[in-house]
Amino acid sequence: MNNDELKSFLKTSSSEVPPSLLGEENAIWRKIETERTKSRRWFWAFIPLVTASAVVLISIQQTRQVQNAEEDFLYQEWSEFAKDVDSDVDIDTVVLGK
Amino acid sequence: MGIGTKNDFILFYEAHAAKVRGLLFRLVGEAFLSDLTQEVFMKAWENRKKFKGESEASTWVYRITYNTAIDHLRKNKKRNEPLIEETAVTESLEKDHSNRQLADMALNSLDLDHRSVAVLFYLQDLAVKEISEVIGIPEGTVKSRLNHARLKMSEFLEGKGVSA
Repeated sequence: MNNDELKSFLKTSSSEVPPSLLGEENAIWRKIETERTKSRRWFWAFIPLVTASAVVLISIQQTRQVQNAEEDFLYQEWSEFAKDVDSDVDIDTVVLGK
Repeated sequence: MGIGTKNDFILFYEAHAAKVRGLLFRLVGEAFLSDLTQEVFMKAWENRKKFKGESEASTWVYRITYNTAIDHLRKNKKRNEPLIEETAVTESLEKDHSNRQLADMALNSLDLDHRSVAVLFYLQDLAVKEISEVIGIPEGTVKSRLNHARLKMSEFLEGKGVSA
């Protein structure tokens, strides 16, 4: 059998596709609408969650910035104090050396 | 392609339902036909924005249908099994089998890879290039599978006394 003969035989002889259920397209559309409503609900439930997470993240970052500023200030203070102590030690050494 | 409203969707369904149901029926059978048809149209709806018209709408729908059928068969572990075992076909065949039964048996004796190509070519009238796009294989492979399917079905049918 060549392609055309086989195609002709299969087309005329093979089982017909069963008819679709009455109103199948409406049933599918209803299902699509239901799924869309579900996803919208998820979306609106998701927004407060995202907002709350963002607020927490921002507050954590702000706390870190304040901590960093405090650490810088303390380090500067310590450095100045250390310089004073070092200079006093140098003067004592000079006096003793004399 | 816009299927944003109910009317658009119904037009879309009417344009493609016969193709979708035809391919699903030949690949999966009747038991899951309605469920899988629903699944295909829902996927088409979900992915309608991805379709940019590079290929014909029907090729795009066939591709979704084919993938849905393959996924279903894979989940049910029937990926490479013929719908009817060849030995069973031979044993169960009797003289009074009608041409309809013979045609169905010839198609169902092929494994899924060959049956898919044969159904798309012989029953859905797709060209080799379109089949390669639907299944995602090179055109040469489509031709090779078609040739194998034709030889196997011809041999089977001629063996049962069906002539052109």
